[in-house]
Parts: sequence; structure tokens; C-alpha cells
Amino acid sequence: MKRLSIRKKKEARWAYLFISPFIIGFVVFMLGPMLFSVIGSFTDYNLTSKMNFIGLANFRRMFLHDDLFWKSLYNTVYFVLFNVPLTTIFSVFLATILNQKIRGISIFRTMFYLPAVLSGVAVYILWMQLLSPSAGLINTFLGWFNISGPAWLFDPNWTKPALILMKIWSSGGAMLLYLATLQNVPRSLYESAAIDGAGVWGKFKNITLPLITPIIFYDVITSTIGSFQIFQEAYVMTKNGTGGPANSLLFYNLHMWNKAFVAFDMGYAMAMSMILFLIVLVLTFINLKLAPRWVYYSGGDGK
Amino acid sequence: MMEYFKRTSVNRQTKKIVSYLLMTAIGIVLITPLLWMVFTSLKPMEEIVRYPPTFFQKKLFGKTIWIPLLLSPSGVMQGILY
Repeated sequence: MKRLSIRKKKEARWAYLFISPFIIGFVVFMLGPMLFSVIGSFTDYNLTSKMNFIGLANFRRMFLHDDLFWKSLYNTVYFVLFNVPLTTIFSVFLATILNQKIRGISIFRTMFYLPAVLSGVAVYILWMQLLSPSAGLINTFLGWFNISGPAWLFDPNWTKPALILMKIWSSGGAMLLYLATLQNVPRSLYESAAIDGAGVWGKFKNITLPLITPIIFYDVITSTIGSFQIFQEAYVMTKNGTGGPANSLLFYNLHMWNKAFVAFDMGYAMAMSMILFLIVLVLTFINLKLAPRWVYYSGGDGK
Repeated sequence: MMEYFKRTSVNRQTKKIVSYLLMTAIGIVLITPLLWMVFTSLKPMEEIVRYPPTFFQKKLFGKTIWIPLLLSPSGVMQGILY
């Protein structure tokens, strides 16, 4: 390594001083706990005990003897598989119809975005009321068309669709992202397409969609990770996080939470978090590898 | 040529109407839960759990109305700011 001059050294010292808040925060609050949970996943730690090294026993128990682990993994994968595409399609759709220059469009933009302003527990409580089997607004609405609505949060087959419905309703944040991107699509492309006789669908498919693929890609990755981490919804909407009827809302993180802070089986919960980490890591890696096939970067070299 | 312009302007008009209708429909669906929440917050307890559910409340100036009316502006401000 080349020796640095005194001035350079001094500069480097200052640089490290300035970035030290991040480095200290990262090491103390992120890297440290992460390493701790890696080590903890091989022990029988339960908050008060000594950490006895038990090898892969946690993982063996998880894969072979814990039915709830598989149930929770199934629930989570189910949720991710439906939630990610549906919310993405819906927010692209909303953004597309909002991306027009007509009078009163700002009123509609406000209306479409309002559900996203509300957040967290208030939304979950609201939807528990809306989805109530007999007195809920949704089943009352369905009743007008002589459809007897399902029991939603009380029917194991309908709990996850109910949750996904709620997620679609509050997907305004992603919509805003798409809307901002759509505003950057050059108008000239649409004009030349119109001269060539392209219809609404043709313009959307051949101009809009390719140009917003980078944002779709970003949204798919972040919402996949976010959907795997679903926890609050199930925790609030099932009594004390018990997982709802027939464990149909027992998501991975909820099961992990129950193991860690109800059963105090910390070592096991840490092992579970390791598995989730690996799953998300692999999926994100696959996503990144698949990206060049469908994501279009203008000005890129086609890679 | 005239015919072409006429046709496109008619097309544009229908497109406009269709998109207004579509946006209004979606907007109503998205906004109804919010409105329902606002109205429910102003209802007394026995009306909240009543079957069939009511959208607007029966008594406008019940006891409960003043508290949310005073609290909701601050809640909305928080929602906007953070």
C-alpha cells in the first residue's frame, strides 16, 4: 500500500470523523445484532439462560418437527405471491389513469392517494370493521347484489384475501412513485405513436410500460421484501397475534415473534430469522439476475 | 381531412367522459372507507354496532361529536406532515 502524505492522512481522519455517526450506528445497531442472531441461532438461548451451543438442532427442529413453521411459510409465500403482483398492477393502473391533463385531476389524485396517508393500526382497525361478516360495509354492499359475502377474517379461506384487499386499497404510495415516473415519459413518443395509429392499449404496452420498468423493478423488489416481513397486520387483526382462524394468518414473522417473545425460545427464533434472511436474499438475487431481461434503461447499452 | 379532425375530437370527447367515469367510480370505492371512518368516529357506540349498519349517523350532535371534531384537525396535520 502506498504511504499517504501527512495532509492526506489528516484529511482521511476528518473524513472518518464525519462518517463516524453512520459507522457507529451501523455497527452498534445493525451489524452487532445481526452477528448476535447468527451466533444465537446455533444456541438454546432463552433470554435468561447461558448460550449453550447446540449445533444445528434448532434448524432440524424447524424443518422436521414444527408444523407451524411450514404453515407460516406457506401463509407468507401465499401472501407475497398475490400481494406483490396485485398491488403493483393496481398502482400502475391508478397512476396511468391519473396521468392525464384534464380538469379536476388534482381532486382525483388526492382521492386516490388519501388511503395511503392513513397508516398502521388505524387502517387495520378500520378494515376489521369494514370486513365484519354481518354488520360490515363490504358485506352490506355485496348484499345489495344478492351476494352473501364470506366471513372474511373469520373464515380461514378468506383471511389472506381480505388482507390483500386491504393492501391493495392502501397502495397509493407506489402509485405516487409511478405517477412521478409517468410524468417524465416524453410526450413526443405518444404523439408519434398516435400518428402511426396506435390505440390506448398499444401506447400503454409499447411506450409507457417499457419506460417505467425500472420503477416497477424497484417496486417489485422492495414490496417483495416488505411482504415477506408482514407482521403488524396479522398481529393487530388476530387476537393478540395468535394467528387467526386455523392459523391462516400466522405469518412467518408472527410465528417468529411468538417463539421469541411468547415462548422465549430466542435461539429458535433467531434460527428462523436466518432462514427468512436467506430466502429473501436468494429471491432478491434472482430478481436482480432476471432484471436485464425485462427492465429497460434509456441510454443504457442494452445490458 | 375535416372528417379526420371531427372524428378525433369526438373520440377525445368520449375518451374524456370514459376516464372521468372510471376515475369517479374508483375514487368513490377508495374514499368510502375513509368517509365511513370519519362518520363512525362521530357516532355513539350503540349506533356503531347496529345491524344493518348506517352510513350517516342518525343524531348529528350527539355527545361524542365534539371530541373528534377538536382532535381530528391535529391528526390530519400529523398525517400530512409525517
